[in-house]
Amino acid sequence: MNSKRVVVFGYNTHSKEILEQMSSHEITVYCFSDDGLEDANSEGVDAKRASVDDDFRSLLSLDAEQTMLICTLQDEAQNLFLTISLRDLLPSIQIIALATTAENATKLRLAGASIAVAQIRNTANLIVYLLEYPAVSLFLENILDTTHELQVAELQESSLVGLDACKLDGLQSSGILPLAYIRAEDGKKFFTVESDSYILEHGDTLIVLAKYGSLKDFRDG
Amino acid sequence: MREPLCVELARRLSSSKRYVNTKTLFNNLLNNNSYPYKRYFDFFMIVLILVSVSILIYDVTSSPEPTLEFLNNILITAVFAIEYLLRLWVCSDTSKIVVRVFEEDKLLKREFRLRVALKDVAISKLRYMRTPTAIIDLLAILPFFHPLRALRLFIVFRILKLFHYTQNMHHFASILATKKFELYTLMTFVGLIVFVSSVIIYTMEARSPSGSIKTLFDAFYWSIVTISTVGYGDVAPVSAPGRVVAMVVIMTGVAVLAFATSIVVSAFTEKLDDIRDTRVLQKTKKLKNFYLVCGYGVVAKESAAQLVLLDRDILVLDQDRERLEHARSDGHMALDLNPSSVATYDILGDALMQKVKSILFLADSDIENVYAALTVGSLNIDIETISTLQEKKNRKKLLIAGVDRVIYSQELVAQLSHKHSTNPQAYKALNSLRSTDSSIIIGEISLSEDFGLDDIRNSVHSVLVVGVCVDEEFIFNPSQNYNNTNVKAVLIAHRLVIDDLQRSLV
Repeated sequence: MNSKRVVVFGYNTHSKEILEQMSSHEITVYCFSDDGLEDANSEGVDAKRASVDDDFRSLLSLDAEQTMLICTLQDEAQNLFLTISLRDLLPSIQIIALATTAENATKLRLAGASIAVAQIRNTANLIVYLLEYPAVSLFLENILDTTHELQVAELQESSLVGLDACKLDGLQSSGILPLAYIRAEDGKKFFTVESDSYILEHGDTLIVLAKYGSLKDFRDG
Repeated sequence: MREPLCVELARRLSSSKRYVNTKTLFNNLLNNNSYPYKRYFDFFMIVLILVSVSILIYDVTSSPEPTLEFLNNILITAVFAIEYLLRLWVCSDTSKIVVRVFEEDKLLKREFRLRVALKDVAISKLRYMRTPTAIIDLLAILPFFHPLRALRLFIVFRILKLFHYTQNMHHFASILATKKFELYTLMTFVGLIVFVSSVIIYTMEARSPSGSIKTLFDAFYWSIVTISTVGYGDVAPVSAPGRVVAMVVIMTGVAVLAFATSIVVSAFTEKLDDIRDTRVLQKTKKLKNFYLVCGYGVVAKESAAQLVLLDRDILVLDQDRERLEHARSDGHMALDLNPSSVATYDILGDALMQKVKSILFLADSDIENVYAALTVGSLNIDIETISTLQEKKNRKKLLIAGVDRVIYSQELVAQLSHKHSTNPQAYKALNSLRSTDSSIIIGEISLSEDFGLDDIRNSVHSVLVVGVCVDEEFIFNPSQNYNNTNVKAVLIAHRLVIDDLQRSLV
């Protein structure tokens, strides 16, 4: 899913970075303090004042398929409360929530976050990979770098139906590496290296590693 | 001025590689705690001491056996004597002293004063001979001489030799040495009380017909036993004035005991951290390599835990007591040292710094990290450095301070959020490859001329070759005929397969 609309809750160093990364999306920011609102307005950000006790019913008008909510409140208890409120209001929308520790990320997932990003755990992971696995680290950096061509993508093209996900030599030779597949029938994910064969069906998702150009060629062709 | 023969000899010795190496070897064996073979030497000496003491104890009540007598009086004592002479040899550099005196005389245009040189040598040797451990060593070898063998007292000095070889005793002695003044005051006070009370009790009790204190020695013995609060009761005052003196001595004894205990306890409390740091340093010296973590912040805690899972060793430097305690309770080696002070790296020493794989500046403050990075930079050490960044505006400052990699967690989180938002399932899959619970992982192996990409692709295992890393550049999906071998390949495969491929390379 390529979200077109992003609603960011909280205006702080995290949300500022997120706004920078997602500048191509249509973004709305909800500030939870007067200082935050002032700060956002002074920086030219489209921001609204909100409180965690608000019902956020205005969000019901948004297209859940095309919208993503990002909860970045620094008070972790408030962030949890906000996440659970949003999930209660919008059961099918994608919610990304930020936490400091892995423990709080687990709580956020329980509260209904589609994805909970643990700041400390991810930073530590990056440090350890830099130290112990420099090549893997470089690969992951390339993947995370929005300006880099390399990306991990989800394919649901009908042209893939009937092909063996574990033996896609044709794709590989055109610069697309099949990483995993998700079965439509049960939503389970399997890496291509752990199965000998799997024939892709309608609704299945193939997860691939590829450069932007190769992917575009594949999708166009 | 023509050089006298002894100066010439001294110069030759100083420049002789064999002589210097031999002396360094013995000095390391006898005095250098970080010398890896010293522990074996110490162990050997401890065994000899215990054997010797066992023989001496056996001899107390049994008739001496000739073999044991020979072993103890000749062999073991000879080893002790050689050890004593070696210690005397390495304690100072005779040839250096002779050359120094000669050079001084030459500079002042006067005759070489051999007597002064010999006097300086004698002083340097005597300085060592006067140390308590040297005196114990000397007394322990005296039974070597026949007339002194009857003196069983020397058994004590053999036991005391153990002091030399046990680090804990050194620590204990060094701790007590910090309270020298207090202990001296206490001992003077105790000595005075013992002397006065002995004289008084003797005058009170000596003429008492039923009394047990008949001599000044009895009085002295009673006084010591009473003031120490032991009170055997075999010697006791019977007269009323004698009992009054006893009461005073008993009360003083309780006070002395409390005072002595408080001195020892306070000395230990004050020196406990130093002892712990010394232990940690010794432990670190035994490591092959380790990561140096400067500042035990929240990211440091998580990173350290992950590194430990990979069986890597880390040493934490932090001066914040709370963070230091956290590091220790998390099971890490931690030193109460300031990462921003040059003195810290002097304490660690060059040998230890050479074992550092990377330095991680992970304090929760950019100021602390910049300061520590600049300190490390000023030492001209060629070690990879990584730092976390708290505020974006400080990134350049860290780079100027010489940090090789700056990690801004907010940026990372934003990147992850962005990527998750566009392809959530794909990123979940990619993330799971880094999970410790996952059987399918992403890993890397160094290729060689004997084991290239083709070998991996043609192996019986199911492996996805993602790319190769060459000089900080990642080449995605290298072609079949890619033949550069001095690269690292990034693979996705079962954990066991990657381990197996790594073993194949080894």
